[in-house]
Amino acid sequence: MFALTTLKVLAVGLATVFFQKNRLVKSWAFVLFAAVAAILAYDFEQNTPFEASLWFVHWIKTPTLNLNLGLKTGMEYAPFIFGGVAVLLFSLYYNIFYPLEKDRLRAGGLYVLIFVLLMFILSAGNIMQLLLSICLLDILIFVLLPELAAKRLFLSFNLVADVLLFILFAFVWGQENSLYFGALTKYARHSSYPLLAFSLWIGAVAVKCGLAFFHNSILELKNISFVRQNFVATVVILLVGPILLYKTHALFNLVPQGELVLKVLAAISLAWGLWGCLFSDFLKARILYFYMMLSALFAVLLVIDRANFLTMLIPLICVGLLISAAMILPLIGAANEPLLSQTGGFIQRMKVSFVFSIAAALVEAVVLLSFMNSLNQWWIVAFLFCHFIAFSHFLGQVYFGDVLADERVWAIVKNPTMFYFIPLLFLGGGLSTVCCVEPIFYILVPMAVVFFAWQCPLRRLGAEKQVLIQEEKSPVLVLYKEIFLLPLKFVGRVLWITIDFLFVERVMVALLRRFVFVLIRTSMFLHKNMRVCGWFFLLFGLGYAAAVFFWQKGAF
Amino acid sequence: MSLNWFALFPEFFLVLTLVGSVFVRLFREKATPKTFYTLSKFGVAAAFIATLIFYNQSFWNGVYENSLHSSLFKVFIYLFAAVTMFLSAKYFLSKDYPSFRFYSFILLSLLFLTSALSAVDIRLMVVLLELGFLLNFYLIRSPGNDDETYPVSFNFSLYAFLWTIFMAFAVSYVVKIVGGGSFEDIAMYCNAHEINWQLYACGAIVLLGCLYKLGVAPFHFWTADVFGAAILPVGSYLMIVPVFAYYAAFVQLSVGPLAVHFDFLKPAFYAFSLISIFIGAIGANGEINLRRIMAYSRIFVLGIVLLLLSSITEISIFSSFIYLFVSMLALGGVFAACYALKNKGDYLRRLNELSGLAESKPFIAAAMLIFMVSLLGFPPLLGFLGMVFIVDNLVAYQDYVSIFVIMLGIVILAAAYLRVIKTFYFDVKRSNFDRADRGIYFMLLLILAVILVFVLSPKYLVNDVEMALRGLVS
Amino acid sequence: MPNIPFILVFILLPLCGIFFALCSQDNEKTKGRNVLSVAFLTVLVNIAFIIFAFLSVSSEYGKMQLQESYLWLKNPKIVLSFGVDSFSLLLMLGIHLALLIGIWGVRKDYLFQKSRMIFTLLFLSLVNGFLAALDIISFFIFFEAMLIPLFMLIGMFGEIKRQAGLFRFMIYNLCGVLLLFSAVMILYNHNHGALMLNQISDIKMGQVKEIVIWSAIFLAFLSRIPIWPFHSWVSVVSSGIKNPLVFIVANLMPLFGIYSFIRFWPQSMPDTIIFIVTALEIISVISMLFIALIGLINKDIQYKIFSFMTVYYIFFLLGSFLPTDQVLLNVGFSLFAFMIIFSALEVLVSFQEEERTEKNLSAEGILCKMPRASAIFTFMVFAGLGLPLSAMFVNNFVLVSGLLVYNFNTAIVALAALVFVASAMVQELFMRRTKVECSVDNEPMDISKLDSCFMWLIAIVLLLSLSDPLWFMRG
Repeated sequence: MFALTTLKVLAVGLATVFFQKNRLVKSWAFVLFAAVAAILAYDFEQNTPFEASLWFVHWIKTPTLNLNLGLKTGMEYAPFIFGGVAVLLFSLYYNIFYPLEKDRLRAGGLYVLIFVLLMFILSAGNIMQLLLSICLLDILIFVLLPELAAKRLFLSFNLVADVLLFILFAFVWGQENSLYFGALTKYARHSSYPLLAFSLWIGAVAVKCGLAFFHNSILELKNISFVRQNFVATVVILLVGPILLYKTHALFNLVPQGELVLKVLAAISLAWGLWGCLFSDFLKARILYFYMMLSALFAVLLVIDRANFLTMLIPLICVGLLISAAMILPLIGAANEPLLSQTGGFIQRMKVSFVFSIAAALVEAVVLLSFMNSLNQWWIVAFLFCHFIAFSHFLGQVYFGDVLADERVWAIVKNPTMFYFIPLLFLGGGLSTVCCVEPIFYILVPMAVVFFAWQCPLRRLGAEKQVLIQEEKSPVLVLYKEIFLLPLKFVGRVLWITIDFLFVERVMVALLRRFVFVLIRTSMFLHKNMRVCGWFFLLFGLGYAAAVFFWQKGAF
Repeated sequence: MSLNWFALFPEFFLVLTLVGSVFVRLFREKATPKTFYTLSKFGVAAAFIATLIFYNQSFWNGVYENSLHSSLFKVFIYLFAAVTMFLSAKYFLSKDYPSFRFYSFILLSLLFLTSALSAVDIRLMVVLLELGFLLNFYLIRSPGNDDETYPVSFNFSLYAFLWTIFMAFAVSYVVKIVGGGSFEDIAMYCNAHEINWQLYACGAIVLLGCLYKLGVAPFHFWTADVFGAAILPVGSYLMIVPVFAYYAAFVQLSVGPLAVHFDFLKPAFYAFSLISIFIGAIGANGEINLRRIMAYSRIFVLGIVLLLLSSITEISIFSSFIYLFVSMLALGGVFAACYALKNKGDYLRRLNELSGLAESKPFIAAAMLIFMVSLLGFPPLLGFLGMVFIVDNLVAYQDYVSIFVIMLGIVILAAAYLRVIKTFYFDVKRSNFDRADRGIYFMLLLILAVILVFVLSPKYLVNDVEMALRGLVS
Repeated sequence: MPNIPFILVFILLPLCGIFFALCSQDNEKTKGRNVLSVAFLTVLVNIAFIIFAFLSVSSEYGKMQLQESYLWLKNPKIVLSFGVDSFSLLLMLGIHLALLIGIWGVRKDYLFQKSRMIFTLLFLSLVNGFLAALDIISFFIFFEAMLIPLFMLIGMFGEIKRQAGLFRFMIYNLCGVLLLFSAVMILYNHNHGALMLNQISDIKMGQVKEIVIWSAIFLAFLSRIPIWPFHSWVSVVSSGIKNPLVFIVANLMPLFGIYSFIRFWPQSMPDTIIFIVTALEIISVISMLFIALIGLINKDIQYKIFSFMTVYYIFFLLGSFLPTDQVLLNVGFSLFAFMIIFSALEVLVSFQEEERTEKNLSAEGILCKMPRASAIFTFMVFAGLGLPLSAMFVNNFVLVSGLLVYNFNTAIVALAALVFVASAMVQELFMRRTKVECSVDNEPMDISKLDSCFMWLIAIVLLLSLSDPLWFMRG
């Protein structure tokens, strides 16, 4: 049963995280990969994820909430499961060999745990399980990321997205009194605050899918190792984001222009991704921009071609992994030279890598063209076109043109070991058998790519370092800091000074203190000299008593 | 007319002890401070037992009668006096001062005060009360702090004599108009005839005289100076013991012969009680002498007592007495703890001398904390019991203004006590403290044990008092 | 199940602990360990009894069980009644765990350990009585009584700079207490005897009297919560305390204000006081926003934690104002996790501040040299933000949902305030985790492995509470 599979995988992950080894780390990483692959292969052979199954456990049973946590398989879930499996195995495999990975076993264990959470996200039968799993996944990814800057940006964006989802689902539950996905449809129809709810939802989706304006959390991953970067990017924006969109698609009906908004965002993301792929100086950043474009495609396919999306999902994810693997070859071959402006002329020493890259481009084109239909054709063509330009430009920059690498780097440039090509072979081969197009494309596409790579006029941009982007500041963060946070801090300071300090301390408290001081001083003065003040008090007392008598006499 | 001499046994024992003390003083060369304490304690113990036995026996009907309530007050007077005498012995021993004068005056004072409670003739009562009060002049003048006590005692005597003259004149006039001095005669006359302003004035003088002796504002002006300047044994005695006597006398006069005067004076008493509460609370904040702070606390307490008494009913008397008792117990505890505050033989009184007390004498500081918190009426201490009775009584009469004033007074008084607690606990220790006598710890433990018993089971206090005070009004 | 007088045990056990603490001997060798062990053990045993009591009660909110009554006074008749439901037991458990963490946090602080433990145990005993009180008199007794050990703890061990602030804090609380006393005695008198908490709303009085009584009661409870414009009187003290145990004790006070509101809240709101409720809500949201903004600009971590806690407390208070009793158990669950989280945070922060002061380091990057402390601190911050690491996640969801339905504007302001304090805490977390170079000699010391294990044990308790803090009541 799938629950048992998940449990086994979870156990492997926990064991890896908590029982660290300092020796023979690569061997243990291989053992981890083999164990996970074996468990998944064996269990899926026995019970394929395409067969419907359900396992659940009672989670909350209070007067206000009654919830279960569950794991499901079926036709609807299998593509995402296999997509997750592909990403997991890819990452665990590269985790064994990637030279710049410091804490292989801990990273591997975390990949496995994140995969388990992904399954829970996928299987969510109620919005609480969805939200819970997404939040826990964000926490684990936070733990996974080694760089503070990456953690900060990732957490900032994703925490906000989680809060947006939290508030949105609170709206839904408050109005519909149900946490099942059917409530979303009802809520979308008669929400009390449709615009607000839609804004919350689209914001969360945009962050999770890494769409334009909200992609910086993923972009900051460029400074960490490729394997972690790749894993996080694929899990978050190619799996979690689409799953969220898939499960909550009913919320498009909150506003009439809901789908249009997403399409516009997707189009901007595509253009932004292209711009990044052309102008970013960081090789790993270009991979992330590519993922951004792919994620935009996913988002738009979910809207316009939902029925076929599940069929396309696994091949598209594999395409993403393939292209990213092809793009990372120059970095590995050049001993972690991250800047594209320091590459050029690598064709002399990395012909095999170049050939594999062309093959990857071909496979990508074949897969996308094979899934083209009347609903999605323009988007697929647009994506292909954009990525074709970007990828050829990338290849041209790296493999052709003047050698810009310094002597030390140039001396060690060579093809990576064959282990890095094995996943490419697997993925490429697998995808080629599944998808096929007209034979002419098999000739035209590679030729076009090679030609554009070799002759691309944009290649000269590689030499113009000042044109290339080193850092991209998030407009949302800039907006948040300048327009929201700064004024807020100013208001806070003004309020503290005027109310806390001036009004409360200087006025209220000072007044009270002065009043009490006056009273005490008066009392001390009156009791200073017993001989003198005694007469005063005595006469006062006797006089008062007399006055009372005469007043009462008069009154009666 | 038959006289029941048995009823005078308590007084007899006191006189006997006094005489014995004189003989010891005259004929025994080595009379240590403890000698007179030993004599006095036996005398007081004997008087106490005799009071319990002959609690309802009258010596001379119409002049000198014992009743349940008068015996109750006498019992409390003897108990508190015994505690004071026990602690005073420690003082005189540590200072190596002669104690004959002190103990003999105490015995004399007890004699006058307890006798006054049994008096049912206004002349006798007033004479005894005045004698008891005037005696304080000699007590205040006890050697030990002559620079401060001499001017204070002089001022005290000035006003005390003035009041004595007032009281003498007032009582004489009343007796002349009424034709007799017994409470019954006066009550009958006042109920039957309209009071003119002269008779009113004389009755008022008598009642106000009791307030003066209690130290209720606006007649409180002598209290802080006297308690602040007098030596510790005198201060602790005057703080606690006479209060019961003057309170009892005031109540007896108010429900008995001067009930009509009391009715006229109610608004004045109400105003005086509010003034006392304010003066007590604010005055405490302006002091740096611990005993003067407690003196103002006493004024505060008596203000609340008078507030309740201003509507003189069975319940209000009962409530006021409970509150008085628990407050006096707490004040007594504070003064008992003061016996442990010594540095190089000198008894400390200023707050800055007592900084960091908790560091070297944690038990004493803890005891002080408990007593002060109890004075504020904090639960679960005994003061809360008193506060419950007070507020319940005031709520029953829908006197919300008084409740507000009392609460405000507590807040102001709390500020003073917080200052004291801060000095003991939060400030750095400035001076060392001498080792305290074990007897002081024993006494403090005893007081705390009494508080604990009454907190856990108030019936031991409340039921007996209620029974004793029942019928006082009727 | 044996017939144990649980409430009496809860109240008396810490007092027994005081007795043993007084008797315990400590010298230069033991350095306060004996008295600390006594206090620790006392709290642990009490926790065991609380869990045992849980097995005897049903999990329904509002159904008072394990009731005990003691006749205190015959005339006027005062019977002290006690009882618990799952809500009060949950809070009791949370407070015990919070204090346990606090005691753990001061175990290396040898100076005056005995006095500290004695006052802490006294405070605990009084708090247990407060949470178990069923009638207005016993409720008031413990409501007021806990001020004294609080004052002593803050004054003696809080290390606050401005003692005038402490006095103001106490006088402010005292005013509240006396207001409550007056109101309680008027209600008692009106009812001609003992009055249970759940019967208060049944009392019929004149309109003016009702307004005055309820205003007095609510003002008394508000005096425990740092509510604008009197928040600074509380914040000066609460945020100025350096000792972690005392900080925890002082910052438990708003919880008692919230609990008081919940217990006194009328089943059906009389018309005369509906406007008071509106005023309460307005003041609450203003306070939330105000304190959140100041927490955002304030650089002191203690103030940030104080503002974080205050905003959450007021959020829970707003939750308890919702016109349904259903969410009160959710409030209880959230509070349970919340108390544990902020206690752990405070202990960790005080450790860091101590290292910082000792080695003259800046707060920036201090955690990068303390991996164990960093990991657990991050966990606690995340749990405090409401991420699914504790019971706060699901239960806050219910509360937010309720607020959005019943009072949208209040909910939005409350959420904004929560976001501000969350961002302040996250900012602080990242600032402390920034990589900064420091010399090997001057590197801050990390928490010990034992401390780390203890903290992770607490984290496991929080994780277990994620589903249902009363999971051990199943079956």
